[in-house]
Amino acid sequence: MNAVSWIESVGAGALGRWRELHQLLGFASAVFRRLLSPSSYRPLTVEIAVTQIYFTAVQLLGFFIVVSVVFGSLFIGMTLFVIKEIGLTGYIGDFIAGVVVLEMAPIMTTLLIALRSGSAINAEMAVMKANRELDALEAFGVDIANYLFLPRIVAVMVSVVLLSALFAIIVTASGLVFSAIIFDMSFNTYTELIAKAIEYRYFTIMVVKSAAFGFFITFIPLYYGSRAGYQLTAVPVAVLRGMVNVFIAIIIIEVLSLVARFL
Amino acid sequence: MMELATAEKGRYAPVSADIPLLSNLSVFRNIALIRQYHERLGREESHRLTTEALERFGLCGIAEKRPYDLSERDLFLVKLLRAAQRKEALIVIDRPFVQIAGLRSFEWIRKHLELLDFPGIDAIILDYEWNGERYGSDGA
Amino acid sequence: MARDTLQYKVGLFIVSTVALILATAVLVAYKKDLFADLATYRLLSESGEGLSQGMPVLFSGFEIGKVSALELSEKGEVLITISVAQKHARWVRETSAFTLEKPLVGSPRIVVKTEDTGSAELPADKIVPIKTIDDINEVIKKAQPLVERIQSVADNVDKMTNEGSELNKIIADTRKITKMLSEKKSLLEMATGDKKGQETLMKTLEQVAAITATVDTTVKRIDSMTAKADEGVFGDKGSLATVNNILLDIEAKFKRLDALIDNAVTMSADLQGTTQDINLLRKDVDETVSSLRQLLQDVRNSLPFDQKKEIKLP
Repeated sequence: MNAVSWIESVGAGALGRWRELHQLLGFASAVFRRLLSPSSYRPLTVEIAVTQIYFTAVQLLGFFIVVSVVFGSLFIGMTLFVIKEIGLTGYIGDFIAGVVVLEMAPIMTTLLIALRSGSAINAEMAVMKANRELDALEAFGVDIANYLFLPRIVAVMVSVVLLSALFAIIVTASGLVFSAIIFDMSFNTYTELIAKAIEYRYFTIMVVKSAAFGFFITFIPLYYGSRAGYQLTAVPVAVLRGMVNVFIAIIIIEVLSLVARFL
Repeated sequence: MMELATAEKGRYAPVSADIPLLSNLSVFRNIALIRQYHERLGREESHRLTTEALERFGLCGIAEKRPYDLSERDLFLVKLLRAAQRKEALIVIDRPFVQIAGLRSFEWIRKHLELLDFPGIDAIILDYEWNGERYGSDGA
Repeated sequence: MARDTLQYKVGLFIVSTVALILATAVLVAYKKDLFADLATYRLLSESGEGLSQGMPVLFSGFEIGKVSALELSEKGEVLITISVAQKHARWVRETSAFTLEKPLVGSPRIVVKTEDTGSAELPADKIVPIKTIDDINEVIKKAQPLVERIQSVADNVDKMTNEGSELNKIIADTRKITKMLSEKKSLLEMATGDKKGQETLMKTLEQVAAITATVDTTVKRIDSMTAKADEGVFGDKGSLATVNNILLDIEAKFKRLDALIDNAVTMSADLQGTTQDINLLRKDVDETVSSLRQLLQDVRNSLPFDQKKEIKLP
């Protein structure tokens, strides 16, 4: 392979990636517009969304609470020890509000849901494509963006927002136990510290961030699943591509949110 | 078939081996889906109409079954009921004898088509010429 | 029906989670005194630097209020309005002193100090001037002379120990003499009659002793300087302990800190480097002095410095 053809292949690869990204974002913005348009919502959409919330959040709830309590307590316990060591006790509130509520809660919830529901949705779509079920819907004039994408995206967005908030509340509550043990802090002092550190915009930031995570960890698996080939062998490939891109999307959203927060 | 699908996009209602039922939905929900989507029906209304449709073919017993649990004949009838849910449906039955391998004549299908007396409904059967005699005197 | 159970569970989940979130939000709002009656007071600052709306007002380390408004007066001074929850208003008295603190770590705050909590309540229309404490500048001011002193000590020690210095010459001479002494022939010569050589040796040894004393004193001074520097710089209350705290927080705060902090950090780094150099120098000098002592001891052990004592010939 000479230098020119090598450069050509690099260029072709880059253009291919760009086209793929362009298509993905184009479709994402089309789906997002439908998300905002009331006419996209049918009683059927709500019914499917409710079922999806059941699978995504309610079925996961027990495990999620255990993970929140165990992981949250360990994390907060260790960090409070470090805070005490370096003498920054006065900043417990800022740490819990800034790190746990704004960063850890959405990302932990997102990772858990992406691993569980994101992969399931991706495989479901790819199998539907291979079984020609997507063609069947198209034949009957059922728009897959409205029927398949919209309710699932809405459901996961709602689930991520609610579970993130639940995670933040559980971890903050376990922080109360550790503050009492490590700093001999009363309930009143602790809640006062946390409340003073929480700014009202944190609620908005958390909801927007969790919703953005929810959108992309559902949209990307749906997109890659629905674009799989007709062979059953295309299913694992579609799941693999979808999930890798979900991971990339999570990192990008996290970076963007950090940039937005500190700018 | 493709031409029909394009020309009659709003009415096109295929019953074909290539157009499967959705495997993760029950029979009931596969049938209900079409009206729920196109006519934006609520749960109660959709439930009533779907039950009524299933009763026509006496299929209430399999309402909660998944497509992969159905026999060839039941699968065909469910697809036919689903097709009939489109408004002023143009039901296009694609090679029925391929879909139901054990079927000897068209009579069984005709009987069920007659039960679908929805307003404005039409049916077209597409099949190989050599299957002509299986359709009886009136042909296809 | 199974679906009803599913819908019921989803509904229950959504309702209870939303209720929990709302309860948390209400608790936060309550703790932030959103529902409390507020008392407002007015303060005056020459400059608006470091002041911002929403800045906390602290009393004994607890937040009792916030800066609710900032405006320029007709004289070009900054009028600060602070809102304090009515339940905390008893800490704000006529005798209260207000200070704008710009700590090394964390964001600026207004600190209220009230010596006499029994004095009259501060009238809402009275404008109280505010003092400013800038921790970063304080540290820089404190650290500057210390750095200069340490630098000059380091230079002196450098001069003392560099090649060609008196100390090095003496050490070289002493080595020569010891070498000579270690040879039996020279020892005999010196012991039996070469008075001149013996006197020279005595003189040299006296010189060495004097220099050792000087070096000892210098080392003690350096020791005490270093200790001071250590205390002042590395000690619990020293500048570096504080500066180290900045370094811990520096990543997060870096962008927000102004050029002054940059100077402070550079200085802290210099300070640390210099102090380490001093420690190394002190170690070198310690080693030199220790080898000199050893040398002297060896010489004393080997030689009869007492002139009355006779040396028996073999």
